[in-house]
Amino acid sequence: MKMNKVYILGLALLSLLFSSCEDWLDMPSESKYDSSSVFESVGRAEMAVMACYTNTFNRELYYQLGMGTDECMSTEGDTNSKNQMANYVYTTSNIPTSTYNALYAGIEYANVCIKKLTAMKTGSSEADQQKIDYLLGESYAVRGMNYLNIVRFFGDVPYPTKPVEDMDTFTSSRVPRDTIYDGIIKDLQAATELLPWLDEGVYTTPERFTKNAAYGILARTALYAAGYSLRFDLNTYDPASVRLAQREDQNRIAELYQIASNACYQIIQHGQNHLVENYEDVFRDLMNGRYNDESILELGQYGANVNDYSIGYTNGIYAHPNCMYQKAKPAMQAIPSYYFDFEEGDVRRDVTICNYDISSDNIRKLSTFSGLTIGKFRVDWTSELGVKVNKRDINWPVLRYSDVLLMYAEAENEINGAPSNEAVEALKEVRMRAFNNDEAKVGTIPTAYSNFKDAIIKERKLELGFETLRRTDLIRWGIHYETLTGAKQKVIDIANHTGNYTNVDLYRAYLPVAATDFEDALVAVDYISYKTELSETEIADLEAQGYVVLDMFSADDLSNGKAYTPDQVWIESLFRGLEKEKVELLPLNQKMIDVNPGLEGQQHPLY
Amino acid sequence: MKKNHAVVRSITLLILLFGISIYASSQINVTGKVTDGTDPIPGVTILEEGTMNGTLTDINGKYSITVASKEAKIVFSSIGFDSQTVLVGSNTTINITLKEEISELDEVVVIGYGTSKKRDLTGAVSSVKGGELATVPVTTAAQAITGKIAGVNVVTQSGAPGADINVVVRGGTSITQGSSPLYIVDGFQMDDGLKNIDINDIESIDVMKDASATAIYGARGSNGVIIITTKSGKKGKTEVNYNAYFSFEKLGSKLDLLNTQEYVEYQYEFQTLNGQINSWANIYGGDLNSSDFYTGAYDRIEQQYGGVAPIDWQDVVFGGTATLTNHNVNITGSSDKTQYMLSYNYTGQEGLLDKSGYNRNSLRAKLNHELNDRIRLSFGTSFMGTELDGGGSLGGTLKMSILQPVTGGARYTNDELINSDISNEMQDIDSQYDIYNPLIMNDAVTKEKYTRLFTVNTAFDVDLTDDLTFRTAGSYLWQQVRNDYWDDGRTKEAQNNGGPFGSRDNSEKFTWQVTNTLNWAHEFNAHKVNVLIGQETYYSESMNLNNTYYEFPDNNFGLSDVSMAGQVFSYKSGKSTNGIVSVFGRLNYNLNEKYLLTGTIRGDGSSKFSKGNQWGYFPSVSGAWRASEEPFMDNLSLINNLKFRVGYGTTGNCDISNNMYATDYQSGYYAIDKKQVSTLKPGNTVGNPDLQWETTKSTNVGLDVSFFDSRINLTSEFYNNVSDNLLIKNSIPTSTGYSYQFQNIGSIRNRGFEFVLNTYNVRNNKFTWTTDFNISFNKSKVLNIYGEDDDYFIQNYGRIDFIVEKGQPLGQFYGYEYDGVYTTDDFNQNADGTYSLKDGVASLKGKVRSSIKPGDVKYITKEGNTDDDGNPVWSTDDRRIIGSAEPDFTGGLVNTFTYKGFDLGIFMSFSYGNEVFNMNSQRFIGPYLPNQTSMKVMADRFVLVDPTTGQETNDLQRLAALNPQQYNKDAMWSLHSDNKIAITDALDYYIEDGSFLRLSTITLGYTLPSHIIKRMHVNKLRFYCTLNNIHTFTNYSGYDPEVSATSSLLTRGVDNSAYPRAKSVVVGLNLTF
Repeated sequence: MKMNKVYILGLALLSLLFSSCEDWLDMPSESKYDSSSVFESVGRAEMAVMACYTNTFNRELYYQLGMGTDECMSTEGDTNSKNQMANYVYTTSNIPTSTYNALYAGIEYANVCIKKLTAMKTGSSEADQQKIDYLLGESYAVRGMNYLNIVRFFGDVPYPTKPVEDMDTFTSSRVPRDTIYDGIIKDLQAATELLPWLDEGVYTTPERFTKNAAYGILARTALYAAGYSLRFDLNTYDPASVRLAQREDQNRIAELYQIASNACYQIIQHGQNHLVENYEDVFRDLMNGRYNDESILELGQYGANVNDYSIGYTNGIYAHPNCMYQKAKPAMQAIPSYYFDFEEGDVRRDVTICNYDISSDNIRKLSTFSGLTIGKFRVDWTSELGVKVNKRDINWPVLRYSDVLLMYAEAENEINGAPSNEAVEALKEVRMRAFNNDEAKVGTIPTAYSNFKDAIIKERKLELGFETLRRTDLIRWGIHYETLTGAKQKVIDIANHTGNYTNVDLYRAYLPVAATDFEDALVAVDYISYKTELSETEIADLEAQGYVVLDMFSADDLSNGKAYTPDQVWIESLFRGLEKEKVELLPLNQKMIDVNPGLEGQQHPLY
Repeated sequence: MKKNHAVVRSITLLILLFGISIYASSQINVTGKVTDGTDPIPGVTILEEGTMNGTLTDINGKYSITVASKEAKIVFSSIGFDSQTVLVGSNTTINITLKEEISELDEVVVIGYGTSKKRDLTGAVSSVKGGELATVPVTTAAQAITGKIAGVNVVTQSGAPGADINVVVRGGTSITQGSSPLYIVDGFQMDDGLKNIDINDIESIDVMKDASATAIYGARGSNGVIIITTKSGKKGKTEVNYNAYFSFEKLGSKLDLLNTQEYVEYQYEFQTLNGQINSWANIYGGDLNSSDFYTGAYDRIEQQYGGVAPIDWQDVVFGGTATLTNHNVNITGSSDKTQYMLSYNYTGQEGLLDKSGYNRNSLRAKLNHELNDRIRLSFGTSFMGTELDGGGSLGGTLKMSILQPVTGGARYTNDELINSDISNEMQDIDSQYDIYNPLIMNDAVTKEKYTRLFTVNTAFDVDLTDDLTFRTAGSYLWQQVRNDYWDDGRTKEAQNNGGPFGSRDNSEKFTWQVTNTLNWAHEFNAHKVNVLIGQETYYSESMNLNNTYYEFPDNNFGLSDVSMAGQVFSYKSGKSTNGIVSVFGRLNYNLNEKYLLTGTIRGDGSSKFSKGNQWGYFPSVSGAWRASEEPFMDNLSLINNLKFRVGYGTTGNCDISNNMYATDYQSGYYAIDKKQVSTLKPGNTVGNPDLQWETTKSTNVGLDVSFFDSRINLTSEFYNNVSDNLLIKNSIPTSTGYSYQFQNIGSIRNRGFEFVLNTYNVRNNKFTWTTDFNISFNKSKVLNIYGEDDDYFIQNYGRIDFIVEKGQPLGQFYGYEYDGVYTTDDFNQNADGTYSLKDGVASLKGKVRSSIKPGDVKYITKEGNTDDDGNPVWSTDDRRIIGSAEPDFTGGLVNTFTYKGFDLGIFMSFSYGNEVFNMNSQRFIGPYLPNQTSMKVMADRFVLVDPTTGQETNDLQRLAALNPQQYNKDAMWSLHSDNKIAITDALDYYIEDGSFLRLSTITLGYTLPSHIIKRMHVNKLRFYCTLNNIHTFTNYSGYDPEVSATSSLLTRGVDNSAYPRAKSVVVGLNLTF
C-alpha cells in the first residue's frame, strides 16, 4: 500500500513537471506580434492597415513595366533585362517578379485586415466603429488597387480574398480576369462607401485612401475592365485561342463605362479637387512634399525606411555624382519622338522632358535628341538632397485630378457614342492649362466619337507621361502594336530627317550656366536652333561668344552617349520583341510557376 | 636570499656524494627514493640485473639494496610505469623518477556527462590532448585541430585576424540550418567553444562523431559534439607555466596583374572601343591632332611604359610585416583537499592591412575542493575580452587595391596616386568609376568589434553510496558584443550620406543551464554496469540594439558623442528567448572486458516549436567486441589490440531561429505628411505551426587495431548518416503574400570513411619518430527535397548560384559553361567592310545579333532553344552544375621527431577534389571601367584594335592574324563592352580546382637539459621556432584555396575578397618552474 502511494505520488509529480515544462517552453516572441495580438486594439490595427500602403507599388511598375511605350525607352544594352522588358523580349525568366510578389503581399495584409477588422467591429464603441469603417475602407481600396495593378500586366491570376490562415492550401490557379475585375470594383465601391472625403479632415494628406482616391481608382479599374486585353482559353490554353479582345458581355462593358463616369463625376461634383494653375507646379510640389488640390493619391516616400522607390534617381534627369545634387543616373528616358509629339506652346513638354544634364561642375549641359531625360521628377527641383541619392523623399503620384477629367471624358464618349458637353469641357480644361489658358493654341476639341477618342489617347500621353499607365492604356485601347510600330518609325524618321521631321534642329547653341541652388527655377535650357549643318568657322564664332554648340544627333550627351543615326543598335533594338497579340500580356515568370503547382500548365500559351 | 640558500644546499650535497664514494667498499649499499615526479611510488620492484637480489620500495617510496659492485645494474619496475635500468657506478644514492606507461587504450576520454577509458568506447570519438595543442603557436584551438582529427573539417574563412572558422563534423547534417557542432565546455553548452576558450587552457578536446556517442545530447547532437575540458588544478606543489611567442607575418602570395605597358595598352584599346580616346590621351599622353597619333600609339606606349615598374598596390596596401604576440601564465597549486588553477592569456595580433587586428585577454580560475569524504565541489569562472579591428572580408579594400591604376601616365606621379584620391577626376571621365584610394579609404573607416564573455559554473558531486553518485551542476554565461563602425567623412559613401557617419550595434546574451545526474557504477564478477540518468534545463535570452547615425558636422568625437549626429538614420532592437528541457539516460555494460554495450536515450523539449511538436526522443544503441581479449588471439602476438564497434542511433537538430512556428508582425514604416509613421507588418515568411525536429539516423562501424606492442595503431570508421525532416526555407506561391515557409521537407545523406594511423617509427632513448596520419572521405547526397514534385532549389550567393538537387552532393556551383569566344570563323565579311554573325551560331536570347563582335564571350547552349530565325540561343535555362565545393577527401599528416632535447614537428594538411569559385577573378578580370587595371590573364585577350593602325579593325582576316589563340576554349575575351556581362555571370571559367597540400607548420624546439635548468630552479624550459604556412601546393590562382565566404554548407568555396593568408615566422618559449 505504502509503495503504491509513493508510486502514485511520483507519477503525479512527474506529470506536473512535464505540464509545467510545457508552460515554461511557451516562449512567444517579445519583440514581435502575431496576427491575433495585432488586432487587439484599433491603434495597432491602424498600424497594420498603414503597412499595406508600402506594398501597393514597386519600382518595377514605373521602371521595367513603365518603359516600352511611345514616351519612354531604356538606355541599357540589349542584354540587360530592363532593356529586354522595355523592348518586349520576354523570356519566362526575365519577367519581373517583385511587383507581383509585393502586391500579393499587400493583398494578404489587406485580407487579414478585412477579416480581423470586420470581427473587431462587433462590440466596439461607436467611435471605434467609425474608425474601423475607415480602416476597412482603406483595406478594400488597397486590395482593389493591388489587384488592378497585377491584372493589367498578368491578366488572369490567382485571386485570394481571404487570409492564408483560412486557406487549406498555398497553391492557387488562374482566375478569369473579368471575375477579378468585378471583385475589384466591388472592393472599391465598398471603399467609397466607407471612406471619408479628404476635406472631411479625417485624413489630412493624400497619402492614404479617401473617398476621392477610391472613386478615382474605381474609375480607372472600370476603364481597364471594359477595355481590351490579351485573352486566351483558360480551359485549353490553346495558342490559337489567344486574341486581343474586350470581355464578351456588352452590357457589362456599358455598365463599366457608366461606373467609371459616375465615379469621376462624384469627384468633380464634390468640388474639392482642381487643376493646379501651372503644370510645372504639380511636380515642383511633388518634389518638395507639398500637397495640392490636384493630387488625389500619393504614396509616401520619406526618411530612411520608406524610400525604396528611388524616385528621381531611377526615373529622373541625369546629374553627375560629383555635382551639387549628387548622383542621379537613370537608365530610362524619353523616346526621342515623344519630344516632338508635343504641340507648339504646350508647356508640358519641357516639364515632362528635361532637355539638359547636370555635369560634375553643375553646368546644365544641353541634351541631344537621344539623351532627353524624364523631367517630372528632377532632383534640381527638390529643396534638399534627402536621405541618400536614391532616397530623395519624393512621393509617387498615383492619381491626379487631370487623370480624373480625362477618364471622365473618355467614359462619357464611350457611353454616348460621342462626347457629351461635359466630356468636351473636361478635355478642354486639361488642355487649357497645358497652353497657359491660350484658347487659340488649345484648338478645337473634336466632337465625333473616334476623333474624340484619338484626342483622349493623345492627351493622356501628353498629360500623364512617365506616370506608368501608358503601356497598359495602349493595350486597353487595343492599339498597342500599331502605336509602338508608329513610334519606332518616327524615331527612324527623325534620324533620317524625313517625314514629319525634315525640319528638326541639327545643331543647338546654348550658354553653359552652372546651377547654384536647390529648388532650381530653370525648366529648360534656352538654345538657338540650327536646321542646317554648321561650318567650322560658324561654330568657332559661336564658341567665341561663349556658346556651346551641340550636334543634336551626336553621341555628345552625359546621360546617353549614343549617336543618333539610323544604323545604331539602340534604334534597331527598339521594340524588337514586339508581336501583335502576343506581348500585350506578360508571361508568368517560371519562378512563379515553380513555386505554385496551381499554375502548372497555365503559362501564357505563346510562351 | 632563497636562491643563495638553494646554492648552498647543492654544494653540500655534492660534497656529501663525493665523500661517500671515497669511503665505499667493494660491496655497495645503494639507497634512494622512487617517485612519479611528485609523489612517491610504493611497491616498486627493485632487482639487481641478472640476479635474484631484490627488494621493494616502502610506503614512502624509499628503498635500500646492497649490490655486488660498481658494475652492477639495478632494474626498477612497477605496473603502470615504464621500467628503468641504472648502472650503479659510484653512486650510493639513486633517486629514480618512473614515467607512467603510456597506453592509448587506458587514455581517459570525456563522453557526455562522464568519462570512459578509450578501451571501453563503443562509438566514434576522437581526442586531442592539450599537450599536442600547445606545441602549435596559433591563436585559436580551431586552428590547432585543423587537419588533425579525422571527420572534422575545419576551414578558416580567410587570413584576417580573428577570422571566422567553419567546423563541420562528417559533412554536417543540415542543409539550411545550423551545421556547426554542439560545443560543451566543462559540461555546459557554449557557442563557438573552439574560438572562445583559450588554447592554453584546454586539457583535452573530444569530438563525438556518431549518434551512439552524441545521442546523449539528443536534439542538439546531430552535427557532432565537441567536448572541451579545461585544465584544472593539479595535486602537488605549486607550479607556474609561462608560454610566450612572437610571430612575424608577411603576405603569403600575390595576385598576378598587368604590368605597366600591358595596362596602358589595355586602356588604349578599352577607351578606343568606348570612344573615349580623348580622355586616354589626356592621361597617358600623345597629341590627338598629330598625324601618327593612332599609328604610332603602340610604339609610343612601348617606349614610354615598357619596363617601367608598375605601382604594386598589393605591396602598398598589405605588403608590410605584422606581428603577433602571445603570453600565457598558468599557476596551479594545491593543499590537502583543495586544488586551484589560475590562468591568464594575452594575444595581440596585427593584420597585414592597417587598422586590422585582434586583441584578446582572458582569465580563468578553477577550484576543486573535497568538502568531506563524500562531497566534492568544483567551481570555475572565466572572463574573456576581445577586440577585433577590421576583420571579415576585405571587400572594397581588395577591389580598390587590385583595380587601381598601376601608373598615372603623364598626368599623375606615382606619389600622387598613392597619397591622394583621384576618383573625382576619374568620375568626370566615367561617372560609374568606383575605385577610391584604398589607403585613404581604409584610414577613413574604423571598424571595431568588442566581445566580452563571462562564465561561471559550480558543481557538487555527492557519493550517495560507494556505487551511486549524484551530481548537480549549474552555469551562467553572459556575452556582450558591440560592433562599431565609423567613417570620418572621407569616403564617397560619407559624402553621399551628408558627412561623417557611423553605427553602433550592441547585442547581449545570457544563458543558464542546470544539470542533475545520478550515476550508478557497479561491478560483480565479470559484469561491469554503469547507469546514468539525468535531467537538464537550458535557457537563452538575447537582445540587440542597432543604431546608425548620419550627418555628423565633423569628425569630432565620433561615436563617443552621437548627439552631434544630424539624424539617426536607422534604429532597431530585438529580443528573443529560447529554452530546452531534457531528460536522458545511459546504460553501459561490460562483460569480461570483451563485450561492451551502450544504450542511450534522451528526450528534449524545445521552445522553438509549437505545442504538440515540442518534444523529440532520441535513442541509440552501440556495441563493441574486443576480439584481442579472446583466448584464441593470445597466439597472435602481432596484434595486441583488436576491437570491432558498431552503433546506430538518432539525433536531432533544432539550431533554427526562434518562433518560426508563428507569423510575426514586425515594425515597419509608412510616410505620411513628411514623417515616418510606424506600421505593423508580417515579414515574407509565413509561420508553420507543424514545424518539427530535424532528425539524423546514424550508423557507425569502427575497427581499432594495434600491432607490434601498439607501435602501429589504426582506427577505421565507416558511417552513414541520413538526415530527415530537414528544415528548408521553402518557397511558397507568392500569391499567398509570403515568399517562404520553413518546412521539414529535405533529406540528405552523408556517408564516409575515416582512417587514423599512428605509428611509433623509432622509439629509443635518444631518438623518437612518430607519425600521425588521418584522412576522411565524405560524400553528401541530397536524397529528397520539396516533397515529390520539384527536386531542386537554387541558393544565391553574390554572383554565383548553388543548386541543391536530388541525387547530387551539397555545395554544387550552378551557372553557365563558357564556350570560348566568338572566333572570326563565326562571322561573314560583308561587302561594305563590316562583318555579321553567321546563321546558326549561338547567341544570348534577346541579343541584337548585329552587335556581336569576334572576341565576345560565348556560352554553351544546353537546352536547344532557338530564336525566331532558328539560331540557337542561350538563356538562364542553359545553366548547369559547373563544379562542386565538396572535397573528395581531406586530412593531415604530422611527423614528430625528438632527439635528446630537440623536438621537430612537421605538419601538413590537404584537401582534394573541392573546387573554388574565384569571385575575385570574376570581379577583377573585367572589362569594367576606364582607368582600372586587370588580372594578368587579360594580357592575352582577344584584341579588336590593330596595333599597326591603332584603330579597331573590322577585317576578319586581320583579326584572325592578331588573335591566333582565339580557338582555345579558355581564350580570354576582348574589351568590347558587351563582355562586361562575363563579370556578372556565374561562369565555369571562374571555377578552379581548390585541391591543396599545405606544408602548414614546421616547429623546431629545444628543451634545455634538466642538469642545466636545475641550476636555474626551473623545471622545464623550451625554446622553439615555427614556420607557418610555408608552402601550399595548389593549382589555385587566387591567394589561397582554403577559403569560404560564408559558414553555410550550401554556399561553400567562394573566394570573395578573402583577406589574404600570411606566412609567418614564430619564436616562442615554454617555461615551467
